[in-house]
Amino acid sequence: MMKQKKCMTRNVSVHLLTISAVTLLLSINTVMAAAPNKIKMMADACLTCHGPNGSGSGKIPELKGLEKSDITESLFGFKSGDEKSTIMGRYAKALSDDEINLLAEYFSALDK
Amino acid sequence: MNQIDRRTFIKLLGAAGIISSANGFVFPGSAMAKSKARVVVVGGGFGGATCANYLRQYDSSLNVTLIEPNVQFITCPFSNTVLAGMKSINFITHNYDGLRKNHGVNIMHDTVISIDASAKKIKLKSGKTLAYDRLVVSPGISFNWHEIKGASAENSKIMPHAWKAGAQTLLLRKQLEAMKDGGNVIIAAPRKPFRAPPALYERASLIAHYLKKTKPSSKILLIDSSGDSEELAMFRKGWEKLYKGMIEWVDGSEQGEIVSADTKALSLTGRTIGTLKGDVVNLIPPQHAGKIARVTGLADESGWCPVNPQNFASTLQKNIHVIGDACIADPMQKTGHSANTQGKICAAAIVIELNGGTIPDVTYNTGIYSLLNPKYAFSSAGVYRLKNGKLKQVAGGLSAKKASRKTRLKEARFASGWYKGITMDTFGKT
Ligand SMILES: Cc1cc2nc3c(=O)[nH]c(=O)nc-3n(C[C@H](O)[C@H](O)[C@H](O)COP(=O)(O)OP(=O)(O)OC[C@H]3O[C@@H](n4cnc5c(N)ncnc54)[C@H](O)[C@@H]3O)c2cc1C
Repeated sequence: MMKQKKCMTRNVSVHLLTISAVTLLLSINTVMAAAPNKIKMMADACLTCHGPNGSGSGKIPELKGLEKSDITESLFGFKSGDEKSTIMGRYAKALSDDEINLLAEYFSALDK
Repeated sequence: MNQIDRRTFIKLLGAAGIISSANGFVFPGSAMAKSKARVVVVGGGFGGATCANYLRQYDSSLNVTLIEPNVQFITCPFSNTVLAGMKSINFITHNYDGLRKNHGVNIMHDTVISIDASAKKIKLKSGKTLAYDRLVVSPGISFNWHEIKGASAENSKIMPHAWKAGAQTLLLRKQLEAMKDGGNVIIAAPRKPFRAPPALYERASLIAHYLKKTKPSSKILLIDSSGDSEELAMFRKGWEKLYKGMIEWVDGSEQGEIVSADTKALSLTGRTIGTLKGDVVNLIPPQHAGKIARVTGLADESGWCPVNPQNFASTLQKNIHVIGDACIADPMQKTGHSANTQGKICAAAIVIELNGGTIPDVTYNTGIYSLLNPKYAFSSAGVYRLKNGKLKQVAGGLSAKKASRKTRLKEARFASGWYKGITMDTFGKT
């Protein structure tokens, strides 16, 4: 009797472990390593304010999974001053047109 | 998990595609499998924690160890809100679980006491020795007490600096709470360079916010060795509106800095400003790079550490990088945001150098929000790029001089968002 109970507990634990291993795998996926290149580095600079993965932070908007055209429109607008902002205009003016397009591509490709 | 031994657990993880190693988890699909180098990071603040985190994000084969004496990190950013009673100390307290669990950084709670750059080894207070291939040093600041007669670490228990957050923040808060209405608070700042100059004006603002509500006849005397600036003008305009007559700005530039402190009389003396007496005295001493950087030959005669801003490699010692407040990265200000940016760029540069490749041309971003009260803030931003080996500002500047109440409120909300974002990003929270 005792033995059987022990065995059952073990089975349950194994299940739980498999689940936690999968959860672990999923959570690790979100922070999977990616080699640094120009656009990765520039995208990572955005995360200081926009939070991990560009998920947004408080009132600072989310970037991940947005339409590419929405991102480029905003950034070009901030850069030219046509789109009003409190702070983004002061950052966007530093970006080249190419960099804006690449950043938009990067964030739009992330899962929402 | 009591029924399963470590081996079974590892086997299960292996089945799920996760391989365990002695140094923690190696993430699946190692990004740059070539390196397998040992990188040791000294100091778990904004620079060091970010760098350790991103080293692992950029190259999962790296063995990254972060050395930091404290189990918890209490941030200077938002510590002025603790002084004002707006937030508790818990709000600004963080731990290293995210770096350990989400990013596989080895955390050692210890203090580095010496660095042998030729043997590529460091010695720890516990007696341990650690070898490295690359060392990143981000020890923040230390205080140059001897420039002010009567000032010392011991005397900061009477005249707190609160320029490193924690016990000092709570002490200054206690003194402000105990002060009677009509009392005088002196805030005395050192000459530049020092950590986060705008935080000085934020401090005067938020202390005024607290006093206005609870002890409205009190006054604040701000002794400022930096002299006038565009940024100060914006604060003074805000003070005029929010705290009329409460904050007196004393020009301490041109040799006006504090030269002696009398902890019995609670007074400070400056060359050109005479002797001033307060009821609460917040004496912020002159600063230089954290001690470990200075005793290991990483700092020059200025007391700060010269680096190549492309990879933050020390120009004085091989295979060592210095980031954060301790390094000379002019014209980037010494802020948490700058330290975070430098941590990422330094991490990328190390990974690229170890694996072969060239470091790309990227922007270096920094910024700082300043709260004048919980609903009124503005910001200063700076973007830099490398030009001929030097950092040159390419964009940035202050918030609009004229703005509606709504805009200032929006920036106050963004300040909170910034704080949440940078602390998650730095300490590897998901
Ligand atoms: C009141 C105030 C408000 C501020 N507000 C802002 C803000 O709103 N925004 C902003 O961007 N910045 C702000 N700052 C500035 C910010 O706090 C610093 O610029 C930032 O902390 C610098 O990061 P760092 O990594 O260089 O040093 P730190 O963050 O100080 O980290 C250094 C770490 O190194 C450790 N260490 C030191 N020596 C050793 C050793 N020998 N061995 C092991 N570990 C060691 C220390 O324990 C510490 O944890 C503010 C500062 C103050 C004082």
